[in-house]
Amino acid sequence: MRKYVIRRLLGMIPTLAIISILVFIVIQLPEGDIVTSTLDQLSATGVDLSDDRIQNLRAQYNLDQPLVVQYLAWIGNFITGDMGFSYLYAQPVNELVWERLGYTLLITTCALVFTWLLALPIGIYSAVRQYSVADYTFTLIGLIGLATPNFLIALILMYFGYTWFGLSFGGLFSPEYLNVPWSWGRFKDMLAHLWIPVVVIGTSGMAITMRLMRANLLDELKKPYVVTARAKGVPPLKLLLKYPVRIAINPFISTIGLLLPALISGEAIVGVVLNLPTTGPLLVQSLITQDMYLAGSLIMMLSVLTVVGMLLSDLLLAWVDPRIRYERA
Amino acid sequence: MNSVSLLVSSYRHLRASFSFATFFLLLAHVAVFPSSIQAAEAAYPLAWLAPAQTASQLGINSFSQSPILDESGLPAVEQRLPEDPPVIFPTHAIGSYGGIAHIIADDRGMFIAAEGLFTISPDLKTILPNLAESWSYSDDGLQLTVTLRKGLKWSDGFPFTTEDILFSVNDLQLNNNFMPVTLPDFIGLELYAIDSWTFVINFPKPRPFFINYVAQSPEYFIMPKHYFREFHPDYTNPDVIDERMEELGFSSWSAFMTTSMQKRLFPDLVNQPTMSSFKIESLSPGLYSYQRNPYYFKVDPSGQQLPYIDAVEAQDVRENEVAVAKASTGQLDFAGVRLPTQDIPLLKLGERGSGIKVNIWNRLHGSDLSIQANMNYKGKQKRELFLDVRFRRALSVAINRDEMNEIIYFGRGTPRQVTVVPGSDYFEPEFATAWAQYDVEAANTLLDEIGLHDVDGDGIRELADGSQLSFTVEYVNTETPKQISMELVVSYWQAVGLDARQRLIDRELQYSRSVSGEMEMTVWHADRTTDILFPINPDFWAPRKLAASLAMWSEWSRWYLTDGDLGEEPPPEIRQLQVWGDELSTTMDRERRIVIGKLLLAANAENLWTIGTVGLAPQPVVTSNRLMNVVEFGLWGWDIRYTMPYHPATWYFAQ
Repeated sequence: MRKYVIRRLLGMIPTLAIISILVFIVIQLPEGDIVTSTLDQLSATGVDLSDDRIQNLRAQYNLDQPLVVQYLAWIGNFITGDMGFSYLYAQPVNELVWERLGYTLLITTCALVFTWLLALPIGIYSAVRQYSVADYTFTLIGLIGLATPNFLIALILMYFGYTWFGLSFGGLFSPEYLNVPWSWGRFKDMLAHLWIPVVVIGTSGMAITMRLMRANLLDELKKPYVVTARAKGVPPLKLLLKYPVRIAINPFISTIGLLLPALISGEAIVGVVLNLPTTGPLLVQSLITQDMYLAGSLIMMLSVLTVVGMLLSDLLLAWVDPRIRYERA
Repeated sequence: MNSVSLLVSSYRHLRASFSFATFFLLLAHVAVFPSSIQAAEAAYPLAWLAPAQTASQLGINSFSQSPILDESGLPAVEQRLPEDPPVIFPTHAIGSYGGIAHIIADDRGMFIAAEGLFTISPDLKTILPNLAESWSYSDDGLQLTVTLRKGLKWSDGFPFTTEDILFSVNDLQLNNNFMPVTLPDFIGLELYAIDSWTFVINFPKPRPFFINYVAQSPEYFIMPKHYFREFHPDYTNPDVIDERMEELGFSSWSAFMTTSMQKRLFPDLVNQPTMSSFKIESLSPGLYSYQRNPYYFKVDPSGQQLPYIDAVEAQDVRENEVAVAKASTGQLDFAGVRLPTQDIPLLKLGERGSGIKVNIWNRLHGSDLSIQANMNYKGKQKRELFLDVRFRRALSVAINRDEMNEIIYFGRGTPRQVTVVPGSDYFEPEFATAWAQYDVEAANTLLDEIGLHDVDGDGIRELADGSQLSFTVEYVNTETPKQISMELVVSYWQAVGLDARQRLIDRELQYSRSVSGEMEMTVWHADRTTDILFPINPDFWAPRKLAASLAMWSEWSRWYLTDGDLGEEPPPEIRQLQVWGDELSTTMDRERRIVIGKLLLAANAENLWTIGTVGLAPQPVVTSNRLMNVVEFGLWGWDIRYTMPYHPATWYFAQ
């Protein structure tokens, strides 16, 4: 077991090294760089995107150095935990990410819990009562959630949040609570705003979870051991939860690993629309403006989380399902 | 990353076809046409059009301050104000202190006006004293002497003197380590101080409009030396600076300095002294808090120190839709920059019950679109075509500007070519109307004359030699409603048998392809069309600059900028434009200046180097009903820094 884990961990190093090079190259591929895009943002307020200004800024930001030098400087620092400097926000990337990571984790975790709490029971119910009215209704609602773009749901919920509850548009706090120390009032205010992003992010994953659960469970329900158990008079609910559900839930455990990167990037678009102080909008902005260190570092974090998440999934799966044995590997 | 960028792009596409406004109107079940929108006659206090009188001239000798400063332990208000503070007359009423203004971060430059040595009059022509008390040019225009007000102080109480000006220009703009390429406006400048209040600038050639530049771009001229000297290698040990930069994360002191100068929102800003009415107090993700600057130098006619409002909270809103929603539901006390023209009906809807007022200002763009056919294009056939004035005229008269005005601007814009605004000294009505009529027949005749005929009968004109003709307009949908406009323009061109296509490109591509002359055709917006910036930079009328906004003659500009080393030598009539452009910005003779300015504009009216559509477009400016002293009608644009002539420091909240 330990040997297996160590081997997997060592295997990550070349993977991540290759990813880092690819990331760096891909970010640089499009025309322009952070200088043209920051100047361009300023040009929205009238500063002209002229040649002399661009040359000056490139020199000031050390962007006139060769790509290899820039890469080595970045990755060297990244390993030591210094993710470099965001030109876009004129702040060290570490600060930017850390001040947003807490809210990101909070929102995505709540959304995940929300999804699973609703989707799994509904999935089970739909499988057990296949083709019932309720099955169709839940499926329909789930598919609407899947098919509607997240940002549209976000806008609609913001509208109702405003007209029904008088919530301010966007953000996690009302303006009066934005910049004050934590208090009970601030916490309540946050909860009042939190449900919108949670529901928006949650509904997008709901349909998939629901349908997967339903399909997996349907497969299991038809198997002979279920029939046998039922014939032997095992109480239906106990039978359902103890055997087929446990098996049907395996695929979710194997995808838990993929949830880790989603913690950072999952709410990107919703975050932009809802003005959330999270990492998603950072990622979007940095990619659009080619803010190299910020984008590169965020994507590297995503990659590390993906690789680690996959390992966790494998370990969890082996732990939950005794049929899967890792010794051989 | 794939999924993210995919999401981003699909989101952008969806968003392009769907605005929050549409959605809001659907839910609201009513579509209100803004019948009450009227371009009100401009009415400003006369005092705004002349140099501000000072307290002593008006006999004001007692001053008061906001109650929140009473217990602050600061020196008395008389000691914080300059020796003889300028008095600003509010447009409606003397205000009272207090309140927090809620805005979005992008509007901070409008709510908190930039303060510089000079300021701009609402007549869009006159430069007025501000931090400087007076100035004078030598007769030959080679020397400018400026006198500052005495006793001005930075927001930390440190005196503001000529030291700061010298530092900003000599140690920064003219320093090769900071600016490897000196900005054109600074080349050859010599600056020295006579005393703490008087400095002199010597120019290599006459620069009558240098004061316009200083007024419009104040940031370059006032950097607090006492603060930034700690970051400048001429004043501080470079090792110490490196250490500080390491802490702040900047790659170099010059990057730090530039970021500060651009007033970007970053952590160190809270320490940096300012001369503006508000000083940034804290930054957190999503919110920037400003407090009144206790050392602000202006007072009102009753001796109250400005500004009236105590604090500003600017929220970080990156989506136009969200900004519009916030503004229309009364959650912002002032909003403008993120409000698109198309959302005027929605905002007007918000006037009922949301406690807001929607003022319709006019944008200062001479034309919302500057359509540019690349006359230096590398392909020979197309270059010849674009060089042919008949072709450009045909493109222009094929456009139905009145229809565009109705569809996009609710009929409140002005159909016009790319030229200066009507009040300008250089304006003649025909500059705006030349070849701006809608005349399909004339367009067809012109195209026939060039030899573009539909040979194969498919409804599309071919080139004279029978080969296919199609051209693509590449542009970025930014600042003005370009996409919706171009959809109409392209359809007009197709109606006269031209196979015109359009393609949205990335912002960076716009710059690189424009500067290298690779685009066939592009669209930008025609700003810099008032008497403040037109005489310095007649950019749309003479090829003297390489920029994303000027794609019609990159090679002629390059030739000009490199003294003939690179690029292509322009033909005599184009060379003449460059000569006029140079003369316009250097002649001290006012009569001559106007003659040349008109020659430049007339040349465009005749030749259509760039084609305009609709200008002076309506710009919604939303204010809370409680916010007083905001002018009902103003002009909205970069030339005058949006609100600079309208004195935002006099805005206050009704009790």
